[in-house]
Amino acid sequence: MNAINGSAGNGSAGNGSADVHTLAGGYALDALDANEVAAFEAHLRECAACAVEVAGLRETAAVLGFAVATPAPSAMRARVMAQIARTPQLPPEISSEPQLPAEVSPGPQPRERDESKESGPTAGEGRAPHRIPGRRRSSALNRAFALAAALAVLLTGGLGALGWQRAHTAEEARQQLAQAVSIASDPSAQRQTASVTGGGQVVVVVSDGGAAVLADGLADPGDGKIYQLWINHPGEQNMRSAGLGPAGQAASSNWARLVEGMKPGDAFALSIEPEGGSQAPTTDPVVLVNT
Amino acid sequence: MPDDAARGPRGIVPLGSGVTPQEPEASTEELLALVARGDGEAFEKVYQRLADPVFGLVLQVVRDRAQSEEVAQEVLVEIWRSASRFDAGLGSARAWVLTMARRRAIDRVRAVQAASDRERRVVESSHTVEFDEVAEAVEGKLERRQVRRCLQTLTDVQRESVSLAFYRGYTQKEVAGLLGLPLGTVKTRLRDGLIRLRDCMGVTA
Repeated sequence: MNAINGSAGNGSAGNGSADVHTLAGGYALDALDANEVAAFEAHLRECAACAVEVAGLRETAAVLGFAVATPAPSAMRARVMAQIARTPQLPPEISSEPQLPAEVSPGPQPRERDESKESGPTAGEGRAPHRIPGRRRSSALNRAFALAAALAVLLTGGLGALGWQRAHTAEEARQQLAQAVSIASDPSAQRQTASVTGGGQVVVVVSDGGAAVLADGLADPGDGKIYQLWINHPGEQNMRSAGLGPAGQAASSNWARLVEGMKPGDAFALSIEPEGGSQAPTTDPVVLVNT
Repeated sequence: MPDDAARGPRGIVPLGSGVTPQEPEASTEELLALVARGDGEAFEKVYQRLADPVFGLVLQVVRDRAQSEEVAQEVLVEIWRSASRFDAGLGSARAWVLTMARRRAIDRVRAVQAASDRERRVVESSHTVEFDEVAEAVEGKLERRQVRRCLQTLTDVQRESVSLAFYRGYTQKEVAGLLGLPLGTVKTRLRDGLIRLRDCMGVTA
Protein backbone atom coordinates (compact mmCIF):
# COMPACT_ATOMS: atom_id res chain seq x y z
CA MET A 1 0.00 0.00 0.00
CA ASN A 2 1.39 3.30 -0.99
CA ALA A 3 1.39 5.68 1.91
CA ILE A 4 2.08 8.68 -0.26
CA ASN A 5 -0.97 7.96 -2.30
CA GLY A 6 -3.13 9.93 0.06
CA SER A 7 -1.04 13.06 0.15
CA ALA A 8 -3.17 15.57 1.93
CA GLY A 9 -3.19 18.36 -0.59
CA ASN A 10 -3.71 16.23 -3.63
CA GLY A 11 -7.10 16.31 -5.21
CA SER A 12 -6.50 13.35 -7.46
CA ALA A 13 -8.20 10.12 -6.58
CA GLY A 14 -5.46 7.97 -8.06
CA ASN A 15 -5.62 6.25 -11.36
CA GLY A 16 -8.44 3.81 -10.70
CA SER A 17 -11.87 4.19 -9.19
CA ALA A 18 -11.31 0.90 -7.35
CA ASP A 19 -8.62 2.60 -5.28
CA VAL A 20 -9.67 2.20 -1.68
CA HIS A 21 -8.45 5.70 -1.07
CA THR A 22 -11.43 7.15 -2.89
CA LEU A 23 -13.50 6.02 0.10
CA ALA A 24 -12.08 8.93 2.10
CA GLY A 25 -14.95 11.21 1.09
CA GLY A 26 -17.66 8.74 1.99
CA TYR A 27 -15.85 7.89 5.20
CA ALA A 28 -15.65 11.53 6.25
CA LEU A 29 -19.39 11.85 5.64
CA ASP A 30 -20.28 8.52 7.33
CA ALA A 31 -21.72 7.40 4.02
CA LEU A 32 -20.08 3.97 3.94
CA ASP A 33 -21.53 0.60 4.76
CA ALA A 34 -19.80 -1.79 7.16
CA ASN A 35 -17.69 -3.57 4.52
CA GLU A 36 -16.49 -0.31 3.05
CA VAL A 37 -15.63 1.03 6.48
CA ALA A 38 -13.60 -2.09 7.23
CA ALA A 39 -11.76 -1.78 3.92
CA PHE A 40 -11.01 1.87 4.40
CA GLU A 41 -9.93 1.50 8.01
CA ALA A 42 -7.55 -1.27 7.01
CA HIS A 43 -6.11 1.21 4.53
CA LEU A 44 -6.01 3.96 7.16
CA ARG A 45 -3.78 1.83 9.35
CA GLU A 46 -1.19 1.96 6.61
CA CYS A 47 -1.70 5.54 5.60
CA ALA A 48 -1.31 8.44 7.99
CA ALA A 49 -1.85 10.83 5.11
CA CYS A 50 -5.33 9.37 4.75
CA ALA A 51 -6.07 10.10 8.40
CA VAL A 52 -4.94 13.62 7.68
CA GLU A 53 -7.25 13.87 4.72
CA VAL A 54 -10.22 12.47 6.60
CA ALA A 55 -9.72 14.96 9.43
CA GLY A 56 -9.61 17.82 6.93
CA LEU A 57 -12.72 16.64 5.13
CA ARG A 58 -14.59 16.32 8.41
CA GLU A 59 -13.74 19.91 9.21
CA THR A 60 -15.03 20.87 5.79
CA ALA A 61 -18.24 19.00 6.48
CA ALA A 62 -18.64 20.90 9.75
CA VAL A 63 -18.77 24.14 7.79
CA LEU A 64 -21.47 22.65 5.59
CA GLY A 65 -23.36 22.08 8.83
CA PHE A 66 -22.96 25.68 9.95
CA ALA A 67 -24.33 26.83 6.62
CA VAL A 68 -27.75 25.41 7.44
CA ALA A 69 -27.99 26.82 10.96
CA THR A 70 -31.62 27.46 11.84
CA PRO A 71 -32.86 29.23 14.96
CA ALA A 72 -33.52 26.55 17.54
CA PRO A 73 -36.91 26.61 19.26
CA SER A 74 -36.62 28.91 22.25
CA ALA A 75 -38.24 26.39 24.57
CA MET A 76 -35.48 23.90 23.82
CA ARG A 77 -32.95 25.89 25.76
CA ALA A 78 -34.79 25.62 29.06
CA ARG A 79 -35.34 21.91 28.54
CA VAL A 80 -31.67 21.30 27.80
CA MET A 81 -30.58 23.30 30.83
CA ALA A 82 -33.00 21.41 33.04
CA GLN A 83 -31.79 18.11 31.68
CA ILE A 84 -28.09 18.77 32.14
CA ALA A 85 -28.78 19.73 35.74
CA ARG A 86 -29.65 16.09 36.37
CA THR A 87 -27.27 14.44 33.90
CA PRO A 88 -23.98 13.12 35.28
CA GLN A 89 -20.88 13.69 33.19
CA LEU A 90 -18.55 11.05 31.86
CA PRO A 91 -15.09 11.00 33.41
CA PRO A 92 -12.15 11.60 31.07
CA GLU A 93 -10.79 8.53 29.37
CA ILE A 94 -7.61 7.61 31.16
CA SER A 95 -5.36 6.09 28.58
CA SER A 96 -1.75 6.59 27.67
CA GLU A 97 -2.47 5.11 24.28
CA PRO A 98 -3.14 7.75 21.68
CA GLN A 99 -6.12 7.12 19.51
CA LEU A 100 -6.01 5.34 16.21
CA PRO A 101 -6.60 7.36 13.10
CA ALA A 102 -9.83 5.48 12.58
CA GLU A 103 -10.89 7.21 15.74
CA VAL A 104 -10.09 10.61 14.38
CA SER A 105 -13.80 10.73 13.87
CA PRO A 106 -15.27 12.93 16.52
CA GLY A 107 -18.23 11.83 18.51
CA PRO A 108 -18.85 9.55 21.42
CA GLN A 109 -18.26 5.82 21.37
CA PRO A 110 -21.16 3.68 20.20
CA ARG A 111 -21.46 2.00 23.57
CA GLU A 112 -21.79 5.31 25.31
CA ARG A 113 -24.25 6.52 22.77
CA ASP A 114 -26.54 3.65 23.59
CA GLU A 115 -26.34 4.31 27.30
CA SER A 116 -27.21 7.91 26.79
CA LYS A 117 -30.18 7.41 24.57
CA GLU A 118 -33.50 7.84 26.12
CA SER A 119 -35.11 5.58 23.59
CA GLY A 120 -34.84 4.38 20.08
CA PRO A 121 -32.64 1.92 18.27
CA THR A 122 -29.16 2.62 17.04
CA ALA A 123 -27.93 2.85 13.48
CA GLY A 124 -30.14 1.27 10.91
CA GLU A 125 -29.24 -1.67 8.79
CA GLY A 126 -26.71 -1.25 6.04
CA ARG A 127 -24.78 1.49 7.76
CA ALA A 128 -21.54 0.80 9.46
CA PRO A 129 -21.12 1.22 13.19
CA HIS A 130 -19.58 4.58 13.82
CA ARG A 131 -16.35 3.24 15.11
CA ILE A 132 -14.63 -0.05 14.71
CA PRO A 133 -11.84 -0.85 17.09
CA GLY A 134 -8.62 -1.32 15.21
CA ARG A 135 -5.58 -3.38 15.96
CA ARG A 136 -3.20 -1.65 18.28
CA ARG A 137 -0.14 -0.24 16.71
CA SER A 138 3.02 0.46 18.54
CA SER A 139 2.73 3.40 20.87
CA ALA A 140 5.15 5.56 18.89
CA LEU A 141 3.33 4.81 15.64
CA ASN A 142 0.01 5.68 17.25
CA ARG A 143 1.54 8.85 18.52
CA ALA A 144 2.82 9.75 15.07
CA PHE A 145 -0.54 9.03 13.49
CA ALA A 146 -2.48 10.95 16.09
CA LEU A 147 -0.18 13.92 15.67
CA ALA A 148 -0.43 13.73 11.91
CA ALA A 149 -4.20 13.84 12.22
CA ALA A 150 -3.95 16.75 14.62
CA LEU A 151 -1.75 18.58 12.17
CA ALA A 152 -4.33 18.10 9.47
CA VAL A 153 -6.71 20.03 11.64
CA LEU A 154 -4.24 22.88 11.70
CA LEU A 155 -4.29 22.98 7.92
CA THR A 156 -8.01 23.36 7.81
CA GLY A 157 -8.11 25.36 11.02
CA GLY A 158 -9.11 28.38 8.98
CA LEU A 159 -12.51 26.83 8.84
CA GLY A 160 -12.61 26.89 12.60
CA ALA A 161 -11.53 29.64 14.90
CA LEU A 162 -9.20 31.45 12.57
CA GLY A 163 -11.23 32.70 9.72
CA TRP A 164 -10.05 32.11 6.20
CA GLN A 165 -6.43 31.41 5.53
CA ARG A 166 -4.23 32.81 2.86
CA ALA A 167 -3.54 30.43 0.02
CA HIS A 168 0.21 30.42 0.16
CA THR A 169 0.28 29.73 3.87
CA ALA A 170 -2.14 26.87 3.60
CA GLU A 171 -0.38 25.44 0.59
CA GLU A 172 3.09 25.62 2.10
CA ALA A 173 1.84 24.13 5.30
CA ARG A 174 0.08 21.38 3.44
CA GLN A 175 3.15 20.50 1.42
CA GLN A 176 5.34 20.38 4.45
CA LEU A 177 2.83 18.30 6.31
CA ALA A 178 2.31 15.97 3.38
CA GLN A 179 6.02 15.22 3.28
CA ALA A 180 6.23 14.78 7.02
CA VAL A 181 3.27 12.44 7.16
CA SER A 182 4.44 10.40 4.21
CA ILE A 183 7.64 9.80 6.14
CA ALA A 184 5.69 9.16 9.33
CA SER A 185 3.48 6.65 7.56
CA ASP A 186 6.31 4.61 6.08
CA PRO A 187 5.84 1.22 7.76
CA SER A 188 9.57 0.56 7.76
CA ALA A 189 10.43 3.87 9.43
CA GLN A 190 11.83 4.01 12.95
CA ARG A 191 9.84 6.04 15.42
CA GLN A 192 10.71 7.23 18.84
CA THR A 193 8.68 9.25 21.27
CA ALA A 194 10.40 11.42 23.86
CA SER A 195 9.31 13.87 26.51
CA VAL A 196 10.62 17.38 26.25
CA THR A 197 12.04 19.35 29.16
CA GLY A 198 9.55 22.07 29.96
CA GLY A 199 6.61 20.02 28.68
CA GLY A 200 5.31 18.27 25.61
CA GLN A 201 6.51 15.46 23.46
CA VAL A 202 8.20 14.85 20.16
CA VAL A 203 8.06 11.88 17.83
CA VAL A 204 11.15 11.45 15.71
CA VAL A 205 10.63 9.40 12.57
CA VAL A 206 13.52 8.22 10.46
CA SER A 207 12.99 6.36 7.21
CA ASP A 208 15.07 5.68 4.14
CA GLY A 209 13.20 8.48 2.44
CA GLY A 210 13.98 11.11 5.06
CA ALA A 211 13.30 12.11 8.63
CA ALA A 212 10.67 14.19 10.34
CA VAL A 213 9.90 15.43 13.81
CA LEU A 214 6.35 15.88 15.03
CA ALA A 215 5.95 18.03 18.14
CA ASP A 216 3.06 18.47 20.48
CA GLY A 217 2.51 20.75 23.46
CA LEU A 218 6.01 22.20 23.80
CA ALA A 219 6.57 25.19 26.03
CA ASP A 220 6.65 28.65 24.51
CA PRO A 221 10.40 29.27 24.03
CA GLY A 222 10.00 32.91 25.06
CA ASP A 223 10.33 36.28 23.36
CA GLY A 224 12.89 36.34 20.60
CA LYS A 225 13.57 32.62 21.00
CA ILE A 226 12.99 29.68 18.75
CA TYR A 227 13.34 25.91 18.79
CA GLN A 228 16.23 24.75 16.66
CA LEU A 229 16.65 21.20 15.36
CA TRP A 230 20.01 19.45 15.59
CA ILE A 231 21.42 16.17 14.40
CA ASN A 232 24.56 14.36 15.29
CA HIS A 233 26.07 11.71 13.04
CA PRO A 234 27.81 8.83 14.81
CA GLY A 235 31.50 9.58 15.26
CA GLU A 236 31.14 13.29 14.80
CA GLN A 237 31.77 15.62 17.68
CA ASN A 238 29.53 18.53 16.84
CA MET A 239 25.84 18.89 16.37
CA ARG A 240 24.71 20.11 12.97
CA SER A 241 21.76 22.38 12.54
CA ALA A 242 18.83 20.65 10.86
CA GLY A 243 16.53 23.64 10.64
CA LEU A 244 14.33 25.80 12.82
CA GLY A 245 11.07 25.10 14.54
CA PRO A 246 8.38 27.68 15.20
CA ALA A 247 8.92 30.72 17.41
CA GLY A 248 6.79 32.01 20.23
CA GLN A 249 3.39 30.59 20.97
CA ALA A 250 3.21 28.75 17.65
CA ALA A 251 5.85 26.41 19.08
CA SER A 252 3.43 25.13 21.66
CA SER A 253 0.77 24.08 19.18
CA ASN A 254 1.28 20.99 17.08
CA TRP A 255 3.94 21.29 14.46
CA ALA A 256 6.07 19.17 12.19
CA ARG A 257 9.37 19.69 10.42
CA LEU A 258 11.40 17.66 8.01
CA VAL A 259 14.81 16.92 9.53
CA GLU A 260 17.23 17.36 6.68
CA GLY A 261 20.18 15.07 6.41
CA MET A 262 19.16 12.77 9.25
CA LYS A 263 19.78 9.03 8.84
CA PRO A 264 19.09 6.01 11.01
CA GLY A 265 21.65 5.92 13.79
CA ASP A 266 21.90 9.69 14.10
CA ALA A 267 20.98 11.49 17.28
CA PHE A 268 18.34 14.20 17.20
CA ALA A 269 18.08 17.14 19.57
CA LEU A 270 16.08 20.31 20.08
CA SER A 271 17.38 23.38 21.85
CA ILE A 272 16.05 26.87 22.45
CA GLU A 273 18.07 29.45 20.52
CA PRO A 274 17.85 33.13 19.68
CA GLU A 275 15.53 33.85 16.77
CA GLY A 276 17.34 33.19 13.52
CA GLY A 277 19.13 30.16 14.97
CA SER A 278 22.65 29.44 16.08
CA GLN A 279 25.71 27.81 14.49
CA ALA A 280 25.95 25.41 17.40
CA PRO A 281 23.65 24.83 20.38
CA THR A 282 24.03 27.60 22.97
CA THR A 283 21.74 25.96 25.53
CA ASP A 284 21.28 22.43 26.82
CA PRO A 285 19.00 20.43 24.56
CA VAL A 286 15.42 20.12 25.79
CA VAL A 287 15.25 16.72 24.21
CA LEU A 288 17.80 14.27 22.87
CA VAL A 289 16.79 11.17 20.94
CA ASN A 290 19.18 8.45 19.82
CA THR A 291 17.87 6.63 16.79
CA MET B 1 -2.47 14.16 23.97
CA PRO B 2 -2.83 16.75 26.65
CA ASP B 3 -6.49 17.43 27.13
CA ASP B 4 -6.30 20.62 29.08
CA ALA B 5 -7.53 24.01 28.09
CA ALA B 6 -4.07 24.97 26.90
CA ARG B 7 -4.87 23.33 23.60
CA GLY B 8 -7.48 25.92 22.71
CA PRO B 9 -7.07 28.41 19.90
CA ARG B 10 -3.35 27.85 19.71
CA GLY B 11 -4.08 24.34 18.57
CA ILE B 12 -5.48 25.67 15.33
CA VAL B 13 -2.70 27.96 14.25
CA PRO B 14 -1.63 27.00 10.75
CA LEU B 15 1.78 25.45 10.39
CA GLY B 16 4.52 27.88 9.71
CA SER B 17 2.40 31.00 9.89
CA GLY B 18 3.74 32.02 13.26
CA VAL B 19 0.55 33.99 13.77
CA THR B 20 -1.52 33.72 16.90
CA PRO B 21 -5.10 34.86 16.60
CA GLN B 22 -6.22 37.51 19.05
CA GLU B 23 -9.43 36.16 20.42
CA PRO B 24 -11.33 38.27 22.88
CA GLU B 25 -13.57 35.36 23.75
CA ALA B 26 -12.78 31.82 24.72
CA SER B 27 -12.76 29.38 21.84
CA THR B 28 -15.39 26.70 21.79
CA GLU B 29 -12.59 24.21 22.42
CA GLU B 30 -11.65 26.06 25.61
CA LEU B 31 -15.27 26.25 26.66
CA LEU B 32 -15.64 22.50 26.25
CA ALA B 33 -12.71 21.96 28.58
CA LEU B 34 -14.60 24.00 31.18
CA VAL B 35 -17.82 22.13 30.49
CA ALA B 36 -15.96 18.89 31.14
CA ARG B 37 -15.34 20.19 34.66
CA GLY B 38 -19.02 20.85 35.19
CA ASP B 39 -19.06 24.56 34.35
CA GLY B 40 -22.67 25.41 33.55
CA GLU B 41 -21.91 28.93 32.38
CA ALA B 42 -19.45 27.59 29.84
CA PHE B 43 -22.11 25.18 28.68
CA GLU B 44 -24.54 28.05 28.13
CA LYS B 45 -22.00 29.72 25.88
CA VAL B 46 -21.49 26.51 23.97
CA TYR B 47 -25.24 26.26 23.63
CA GLN B 48 -25.45 29.78 22.23
CA ARG B 49 -22.85 29.01 19.62
CA LEU B 50 -23.94 25.58 18.57
CA ALA B 51 -27.66 25.15 19.20
CA ASP B 52 -28.69 26.76 15.90
CA PRO B 53 -26.24 24.83 13.73
CA VAL B 54 -27.14 21.60 15.52
CA PHE B 55 -30.85 22.21 15.12
CA GLY B 56 -30.51 23.30 11.49
CA LEU B 57 -28.42 20.32 10.53
CA VAL B 58 -30.70 17.85 12.31
CA LEU B 59 -33.69 19.49 10.63
CA GLN B 60 -32.07 19.05 7.23
CA VAL B 61 -31.74 15.32 7.80
CA VAL B 62 -34.86 14.53 9.84
CA ARG B 63 -37.22 17.07 8.21
CA ASP B 64 -39.84 16.77 10.91
CA ARG B 65 -39.59 19.72 13.25
CA ALA B 66 -40.80 18.06 16.44
CA GLN B 67 -38.51 15.09 16.01
CA SER B 68 -35.63 17.37 15.07
CA GLU B 69 -36.10 19.21 18.31
CA GLU B 70 -35.90 15.97 20.26
CA VAL B 71 -32.75 14.90 18.47
CA ALA B 72 -31.11 18.32 18.81
CA GLN B 73 -31.89 18.29 22.53
CA GLU B 74 -30.29 14.86 22.89
CA VAL B 75 -27.19 16.09 21.09
CA LEU B 76 -26.85 19.18 23.26
CA VAL B 77 -27.19 17.15 26.44
CA GLU B 78 -24.64 14.73 25.04
CA ILE B 79 -22.17 17.61 24.69
CA TRP B 80 -22.53 18.19 28.42
CA ARG B 81 -22.26 14.51 29.23
CA SER B 82 -19.23 13.64 27.14
CA ALA B 83 -17.32 16.93 27.02
CA SER B 84 -14.41 15.21 28.76
CA ARG B 85 -14.02 12.92 25.75
CA PHE B 86 -13.51 15.77 23.33
CA ASP B 87 -9.89 15.94 22.17
CA ALA B 88 -8.97 19.21 20.51
CA GLY B 89 -5.97 17.50 18.98
CA LEU B 90 -8.23 15.39 16.81
CA GLY B 91 -10.53 18.02 15.40
CA SER B 92 -12.40 21.21 16.15
CA ALA B 93 -15.25 21.44 18.64
CA ARG B 94 -17.70 22.26 15.91
CA ALA B 95 -16.71 19.20 13.88
CA TRP B 96 -17.10 17.04 16.97
CA VAL B 97 -20.53 18.40 17.76
CA LEU B 98 -21.89 18.53 14.22
CA THR B 99 -20.66 15.03 13.44
CA MET B 100 -22.50 13.83 16.52
CA ALA B 101 -25.61 15.74 15.46
CA ARG B 102 -25.58 14.29 11.97
CA ARG B 103 -25.14 10.75 13.24
CA ARG B 104 -27.96 11.07 15.71
CA ALA B 105 -30.19 12.55 13.03
CA ILE B 106 -29.37 9.76 10.62
CA ASP B 107 -30.01 7.16 13.31
CA ARG B 108 -33.38 8.73 13.98
CA VAL B 109 -34.40 8.72 10.36
CA ARG B 110 -33.33 5.13 9.96
CA ALA B 111 -35.10 4.06 13.09
CA VAL B 112 -38.31 5.70 12.02
CA GLN B 113 -38.49 4.62 8.44
CA ALA B 114 -37.50 1.59 6.47
CA ALA B 115 -34.86 2.55 3.97
CA SER B 116 -37.06 1.63 1.03
CA ASP B 117 -39.83 3.97 2.16
CA ARG B 118 -37.40 6.73 2.56
CA GLU B 119 -35.87 6.27 -0.83
CA ARG B 120 -39.24 6.26 -2.50
CA ARG B 121 -40.21 9.40 -0.67
CA VAL B 122 -37.11 11.21 -1.78
CA VAL B 123 -37.19 9.98 -5.33
CA GLU B 124 -40.67 11.45 -5.52
CA SER B 125 -39.46 14.75 -4.21
CA SER B 126 -36.50 16.80 -5.24
CA HIS B 127 -32.98 15.46 -5.11
CA THR B 128 -31.31 18.65 -4.19
CA VAL B 129 -31.17 20.61 -1.00
CA GLU B 130 -32.81 23.97 -1.36
CA PHE B 131 -30.06 26.32 -0.37
CA ASP B 132 -32.09 29.38 -1.22
CA GLU B 133 -34.80 28.32 1.15
CA VAL B 134 -32.28 27.63 3.86
CA ALA B 135 -30.50 30.88 3.21
CA GLU B 136 -33.51 32.88 4.24
CA ALA B 137 -33.54 31.29 7.67
CA VAL B 138 -30.16 32.58 8.72
CA GLU B 139 -28.84 35.66 7.07
CA GLY B 140 -25.66 37.59 6.84
CA LYS B 141 -23.34 34.78 7.65
CA LEU B 142 -19.98 34.83 5.98
CA GLU B 143 -19.87 31.08 6.10
CA ARG B 144 -23.17 30.66 4.39
CA ARG B 145 -22.02 32.83 1.51
CA GLN B 146 -18.74 30.98 1.39
CA VAL B 147 -20.43 27.61 1.35
CA ARG B 148 -22.89 28.66 -1.30
CA ARG B 149 -20.19 30.12 -3.48
CA CYS B 150 -17.99 27.10 -3.02
CA LEU B 151 -20.80 24.68 -3.72
CA GLN B 152 -21.26 26.47 -7.03
CA THR B 153 -17.70 25.61 -8.00
CA LEU B 154 -18.55 21.91 -7.89
CA THR B 155 -19.84 19.95 -10.83
CA ASP B 156 -23.50 19.00 -10.67
CA VAL B 157 -22.67 15.42 -9.79
CA GLN B 158 -20.21 16.45 -7.09
CA ARG B 159 -22.69 18.86 -5.59
CA GLU B 160 -25.59 16.45 -5.64
CA SER B 161 -23.49 13.62 -4.22
CA VAL B 162 -22.14 15.71 -1.36
CA SER B 163 -25.55 17.23 -0.63
CA LEU B 164 -27.36 13.91 -0.55
CA ALA B 165 -24.72 12.28 1.61
CA PHE B 166 -24.26 15.20 3.98
CA TYR B 167 -27.64 16.87 4.26
CA ARG B 168 -29.77 13.80 3.71
CA GLY B 169 -27.58 11.21 5.34
CA TYR B 170 -27.52 8.75 2.46
CA THR B 171 -24.85 6.13 2.04
CA GLN B 172 -22.83 6.41 -1.12
CA LYS B 173 -24.64 3.33 -2.45
CA GLU B 174 -27.96 5.04 -1.92
CA VAL B 175 -26.65 8.16 -3.60
CA ALA B 176 -25.54 6.07 -6.57
CA GLY B 177 -28.98 4.46 -6.74
CA LEU B 178 -30.80 7.77 -6.52
CA LEU B 179 -28.68 9.47 -9.14
CA GLY B 180 -28.48 6.43 -11.39
CA LEU B 181 -24.69 6.51 -11.38
CA PRO B 182 -22.08 3.79 -10.93
CA LEU B 183 -20.92 3.48 -7.33
CA GLY B 184 -17.33 4.19 -8.34
CA THR B 185 -18.36 7.50 -9.79
CA VAL B 186 -20.14 8.53 -6.62
CA LYS B 187 -17.15 7.51 -4.48
CA THR B 188 -14.76 9.66 -6.43
CA ARG B 189 -17.22 12.57 -6.71
CA LEU B 190 -17.82 12.60 -2.96
CA ARG B 191 -14.10 12.81 -2.34
CA ASP B 192 -13.27 15.22 -5.16
CA GLY B 193 -16.20 17.39 -4.19
CA LEU B 194 -15.21 17.59 -0.53
CA ILE B 195 -11.60 18.30 -1.42
CA ARG B 196 -12.67 21.07 -3.73
CA LEU B 197 -14.89 22.51 -1.01
CA ARG B 198 -12.08 22.27 1.50
CA ASP B 199 -9.70 24.10 -0.77
CA CYS B 200 -12.30 26.68 -1.76
CA MET B 201 -13.32 27.44 1.80
CA GLY B 202 -9.81 27.27 3.15
CA VAL B 203 -8.07 29.60 0.74
CA THR B 204 -10.44 32.50 0.36
CA ALA B 205 -9.59 35.63 2.25
